[in-house]
This record gives sequence, C-alpha cells and structure tokens, in this order.
Amino acid sequence: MKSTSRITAVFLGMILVSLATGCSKDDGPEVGYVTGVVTLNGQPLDAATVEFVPVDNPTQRPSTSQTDQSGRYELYYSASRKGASLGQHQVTIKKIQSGNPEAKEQPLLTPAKYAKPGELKAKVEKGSQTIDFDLKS
Amino acid sequence: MKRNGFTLIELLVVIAIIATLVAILLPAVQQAREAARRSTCKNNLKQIGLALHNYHDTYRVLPPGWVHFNTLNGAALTGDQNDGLVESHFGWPVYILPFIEQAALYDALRPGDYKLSDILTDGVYPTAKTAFIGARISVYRCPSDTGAELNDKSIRLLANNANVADVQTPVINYVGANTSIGRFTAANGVVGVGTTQGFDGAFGLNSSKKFSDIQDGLSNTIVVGERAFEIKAGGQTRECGAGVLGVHNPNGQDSAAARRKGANVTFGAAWTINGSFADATQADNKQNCAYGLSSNHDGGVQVVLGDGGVRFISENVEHNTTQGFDGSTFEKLIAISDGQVIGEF
Repeated sequence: MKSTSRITAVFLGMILVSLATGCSKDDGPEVGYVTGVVTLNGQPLDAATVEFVPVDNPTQRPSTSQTDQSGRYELYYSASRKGASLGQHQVTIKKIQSGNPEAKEQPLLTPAKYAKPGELKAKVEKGSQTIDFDLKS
Repeated sequence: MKRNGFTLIELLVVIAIIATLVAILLPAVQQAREAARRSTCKNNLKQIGLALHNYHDTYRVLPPGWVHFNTLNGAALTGDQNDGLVESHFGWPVYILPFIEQAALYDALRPGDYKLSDILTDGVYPTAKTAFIGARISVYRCPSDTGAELNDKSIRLLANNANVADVQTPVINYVGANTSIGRFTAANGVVGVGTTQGFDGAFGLNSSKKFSDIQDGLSNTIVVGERAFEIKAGGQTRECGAGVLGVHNPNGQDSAAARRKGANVTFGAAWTINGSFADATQADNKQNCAYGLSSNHDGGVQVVLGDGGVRFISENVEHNTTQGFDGSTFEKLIAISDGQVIGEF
C-alpha cells in the first residue's frame, strides 16, 4: 500500500512538472515593452501613427502603434509581439486626414517636422518603459 | 481484504493522465491542420514558379509585372503627366494563366487585345467581364487565408474608368517582387511599389526581365511571395488586403495613389514581413502589411525563388526597411542583380 501511494505521488508530480514547464519560445531579438501618451500642444492626440525605427540595430524591425482616444500608444514589434527593438530609435508621429487611399497625397494634421525622421528620438531598454511625446505646432 | 475495482487514487491518476494527453494533443491537431494548409500554399507557389519558367521558355522573358498601354510604344511618362487617366491594367498573374492550365480563362480575357478597364465597363465585353469577376483560381489562393472570394478593400478595387464605380474582383494571395529600395517623396515621405524608378526586382511596370538579367542567380532571388487578406495583431484584425489580378491607375509616375496601386500585384522591401499595421492611406508606415508580405502561418511567409524552390522566410530575417538598398538579406533576395553574397536565410 505504501509503495503504491509513493508511485502515484511520483506520477502526479511528473504530470504537474510537465504541465508547469509547458513550451515557451520567443522568436527573434530581445525587445522592450514601450507605451506612452502623445499630446499636441498639451491636448491628447488620437488616431496618430507612432513609428519607432531602430538606429542601433537597423536590420531589426521598426515598431508601430496608433494612439487611442486618450493619446495612448503601445508599440508592436510584430503582429504577435509587443515592444520595440533595443537601443536608439528615430521616432515619427503623424496623423493623416482622410481615409481615402485614392487621394493623390494624404494631407497631414500634425506638424510636418514630426512626420520626418530626425526631430524625435527615443531609447528603448530591456523591460517596460513609458515614453511620452509632447508635440508643439 | 481483497476488493475488486480501482482505488480512488488510481482513478485520479488515470484521469489526470488522460487530461494531460488531451491538453497536449488538441492544439497539436489544430497545428496539423494548419501544417496541411501551409503545404497546399507551398505547392501553389511551386506551381507559380514552374508556370513562370514555362512562360520564360515560351517568350524568353518573365511576364510584365503589369502593363500600362500608354507607355507601350513610346517613351516613359514623366511626372504626373498622365495622372488624369484612370484605367485598370492586367497584372502578371493574368499573363501566366495558360501555364497554370487556365487557358480558357486567358482566351476569354484576351489580355493581348483588351484593356482591363474596358472589360470592367458594363456592356463592352460582357463575356470577358463575367469571366474576370468569376475567376476562381485555386492556385492563386492560399488555404490558410481567411479572405472572401471578392476583394472589398478600397485599395484593391479596380475601376473601369473615371465615371463608373469601382469593381470588386477576385482575391489572390501571391504578389511579385518589385523593389528592394522603396520610393519616397521629399514632401511627406510617401513610399510605394509602383513605377519604374526604384524598381530592381523581377516584376515592375511594363517589365520584361530575362533570367539572364537575374545576375545574382535564380536560387538567390525571390520572384513571388504571399500576402494575406487579414492577419491578427494584438487582438485586432489588420486588413492587408492580399492582392487582385490587375492594377488600377498606375500612371502618373509620382502620385502617391499610383505607387500604392502597384501593390495590387507586387510587394517591396520597405515594409516588414507580417507587419502589425494596415492602413491603405499610410504606405510609408514600415509595419504596413498592405504593401509587404504577410501570411497566417506562424512566424513568417513562404516565397518562391527564381529556380522554382519554395522557401520559408522568417519575419525576423535580416531586413533594413529604410529608404534605399542597404544590403540586408531580405533586400538582397529581392534585388535581381545587386551582386552581393547572401548568407543563410
């Protein structure tokens, strides 16, 4: 009787361990989680596109997000991973007027200087971080 | 005392083991289904690769990425010279139809004689219009894709002419390689896969690349890749829009609309694989999956190389999305004669 319960205990233990370990895999380079709020002249900017283009690791993926009603964004490294590649980034922020892809050019609602790389920079580190941007028109 | 039957502990152990097996195997069954769909998808790419070879054997060139009749006999258009003209044109998937055993459809469309914009106009070539809208070419659809049969994404609509409404046409999941460079305008950084400038891949506007033009070697060059209709990103659906059989208004060399429309049948290296963003109006967003490659397979996309080999490209492949040719692996795979060594990919 004693040996039976020991065997079952071992069995249960093995099952628990196999369940607990599971299978975790994270493809690709290390990323840092980035969120923050974008404001234009102090007012939250909604529906703006935020793009982080890596400078330190230019062959890694740029990260993108769109701000919500409160101006908050959350970067995506790929469709299945949140975050941005580590190191320095050039940041562009812009909001486009129409949803008409047939339009010849898309008029900007935000200052043009923020739509081009150079004006904004950010450094992404391991772990999670909050990076806010205050744009001035 | 000896009893018949099992003890409680024995029963619990058996139940626990069964539960564990179910938990492990059920997702595996789902994965097996996706693996089967991916295989079919891969086979389609292989067929396209073979069709391109057969086309090349017949005509000694690869098919044009898409044709613009107005530049067929004369010099290339410059600036926004021709921008008022709204027309649709056949893309490379139509020109290789006879080589994927769709000769009947090809004969109905007569791409050598008809313009796509005329076909899509009511009452001009009604048989051809029915054939084009009704085309269901399984070789051009990836089974992993969730898209409908007709493409309702605004960027993929094909218009017949300026006065008639846009038309929904069949979805295709395979797009040709256009550029490793990506084109920007100085004004607001709009990029595109459209016109003749910056075109260094296998397919472009009125292109006629020979295999001998692919100096990097057919084994080192992507000719066709896949694009999904929709992918899931962060709990949201991103509308990549796959592709269609033709291009709408790729004229006016420097209009943003023209450059966007080239993405109906081609892709470029200015966009990441499986991007997390899709907004047809924002072609300069580097995560925009409406202009690059994307798929519903985990972790990357499948492509067919010039030699007919089908390869899986990870979404984390070395890939520099900034303007110009930067010598990253993905760009070297698209450019047909960059002359640089490609490592493992």
